[in-house]
Amino acid sequence: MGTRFEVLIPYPEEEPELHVRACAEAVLDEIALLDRQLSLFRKDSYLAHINRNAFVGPVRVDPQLFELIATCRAVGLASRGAFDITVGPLMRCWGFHALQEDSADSPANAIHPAQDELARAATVVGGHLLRLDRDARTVMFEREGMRLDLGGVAKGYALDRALDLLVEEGVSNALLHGGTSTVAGLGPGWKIGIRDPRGLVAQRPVCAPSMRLVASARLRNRTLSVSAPHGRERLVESTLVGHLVDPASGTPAKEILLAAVIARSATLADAWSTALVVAGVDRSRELIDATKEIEAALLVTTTPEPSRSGCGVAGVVRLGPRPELFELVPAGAGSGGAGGPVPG
Amino acid sequence: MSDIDRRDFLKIGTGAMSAFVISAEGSGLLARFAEDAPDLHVAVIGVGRQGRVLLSELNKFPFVKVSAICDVIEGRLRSARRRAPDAVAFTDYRKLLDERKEVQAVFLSTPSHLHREIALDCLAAGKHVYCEAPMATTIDDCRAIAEAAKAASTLFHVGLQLRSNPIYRLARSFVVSGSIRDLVTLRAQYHNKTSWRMPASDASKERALNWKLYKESSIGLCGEIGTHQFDVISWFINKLPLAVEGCGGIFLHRDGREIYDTVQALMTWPGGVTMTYEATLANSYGGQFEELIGTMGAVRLIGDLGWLFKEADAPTQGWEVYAVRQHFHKEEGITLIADATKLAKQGKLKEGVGLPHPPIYYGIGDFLGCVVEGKPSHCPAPIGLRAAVMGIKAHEAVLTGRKIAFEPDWFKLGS
Repeated sequence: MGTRFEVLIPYPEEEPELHVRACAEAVLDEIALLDRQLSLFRKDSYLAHINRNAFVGPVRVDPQLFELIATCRAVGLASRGAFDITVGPLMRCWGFHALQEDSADSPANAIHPAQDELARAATVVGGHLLRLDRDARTVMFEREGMRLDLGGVAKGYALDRALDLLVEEGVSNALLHGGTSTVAGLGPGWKIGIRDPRGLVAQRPVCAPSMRLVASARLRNRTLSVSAPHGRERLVESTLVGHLVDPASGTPAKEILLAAVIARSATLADAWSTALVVAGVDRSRELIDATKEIEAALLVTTTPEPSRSGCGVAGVVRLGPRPELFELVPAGAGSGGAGGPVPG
Repeated sequence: MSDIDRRDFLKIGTGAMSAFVISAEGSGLLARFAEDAPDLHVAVIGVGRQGRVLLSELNKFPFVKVSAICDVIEGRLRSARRRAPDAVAFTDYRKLLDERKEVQAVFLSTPSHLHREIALDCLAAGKHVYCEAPMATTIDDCRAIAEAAKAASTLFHVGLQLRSNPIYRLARSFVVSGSIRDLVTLRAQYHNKTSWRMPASDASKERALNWKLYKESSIGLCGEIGTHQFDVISWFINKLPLAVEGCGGIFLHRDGREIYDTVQALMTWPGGVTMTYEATLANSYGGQFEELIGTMGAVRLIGDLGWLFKEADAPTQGWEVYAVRQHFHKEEGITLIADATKLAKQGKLKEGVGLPHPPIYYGIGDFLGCVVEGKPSHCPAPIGLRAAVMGIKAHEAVLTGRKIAFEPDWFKLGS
């Protein structure tokens, strides 16, 4: 995952620190194990094993991984393809997903992928091409060249497994996050600030570096995931292109600058935040109304294409049955951590 | 692949899911599982961290059915059930052996000091046994296991997984054929910042859960980790050590534990070569490796990767021209790639860098291959005994501060 995970466990004075520390270590250990299992960039991950073999024949996976893949497919269906773990081949066209060996060869400024290249990649993308057998616990690819990528959901999944562990060890108050973009709050309530992603462009600051918050969320036994195209862009013919590719159009998503999703499970929060960025505002509204299991806040830009020359104007749209879970922060208001605890 | 129709590929079953081939130059052990291999029912006894890793990798062998799991800690059993929902869960391994007659093979991944009794009972019950290394924590226990394994009609295999590792097998063939010429020094290291302490919400279970931290139950870093690494050296150079001395301390984890978090040892081998060994739980720099350094070259192994560094005046054989190389500051190493010749012919040499499976997969695969094909294990109990003796005595040397000369009899089964 290439992500830094942190776990905070406040504990009463009478509790031995050793035990709490051991819980935290066990959590990070489990997360590291899952990273090795799910990484697209490790040759020896279970994911790589699936990608190498699932076209040849059904590949058996462990029950938790099967449930993860099944959940991803369900979110794929519910999001009408906006979230799609088979999208890897398209992302590769745009120069994302450079594997260790490739990165030396991929140019700093890529060329817009050719239409036929995109069309070819699109033939091996789609949740309907995944064959899942629940009894045998196997995964199979319908077409050669398919490639599963769990990057849009791996952090959330790792946090969910970490939460299981903490609860089992009797911890009832903790904050966990992966890369500050997926956060889980266990216990009475953690207030999380959601930072304006503009000004965080990978290449150089477009606006002044921002500590502006767009909203905050209070997590009581809930999880939050934030997806934004900014922060992992590539330069394609002098235009910054976000890394979240729309599986339907084959092109990187543009309208939504940030999607923040609250859900009971970090896996769902992670998957849906990726889906909504791609889906755009109107589709997101429909999808969230239909699914009922998440709340979302979307930072929407009115300039259609983020470019080097400006940030554009943006507003926040809250969707879902309980929009009050997100508190909006007035424009120009104070600083705070990105995806981190806010004092008070 | 494009010339081969998918159905035919499944029948041939080369290297992919339906059949499984382990081969590496010099391995001498080939296992192939046909698509219609009969189910093999297995049990995993001890489902802590190592047991969970085993459960995960066992999914890659479709004919393997985990039908029972066992652990004395209920919480662990619950976690393990999520990974093996079809398995019946037990807290008493004897009940498992009594009730699950369909189990043919057992993976034993309990705390090391508990291996003896369980291994003996499993062998007596007619099961094939894969026993994690170190095989046991005393020479007596190791001998008892080895005697029982000798008398048993089923297979006993020690989890010295590096002996199954294709990179290690390839590296060994270079060493054996003289690529590094005469040994000069040997080095091995394990640096990993971690505490070894398990969460123990139930104070009464703390000593059992933290068996690795107490003298009565643990053979420390030398025993738990060093055993594997000393065994690699012994296997490569085909010798047993002469003596060991060492020291240790607690540098970070001052939490009431009795076992050192940092150790250093010197192990001497026939021919006058000395191995330096260092292991710590206080720092991760440099990770885990083994190095054999000779007059014409050096071999460096880090689990899933290995390199051969040739001296400037070493003779060349020609294959080096197309070898993959990696640079480390001023050093240039030839990356060891299993099946390099075949891959080079296909123009896919670079793809061969690294292993497609975690090292433990190969150990499990070798064991299962032997079970299925009725062949003897290349990692039987006597080898487990020798490896454990090195770890046990290194640990003792570190604890006592005394130099210990290895008695040849320690490495043998009882008289």
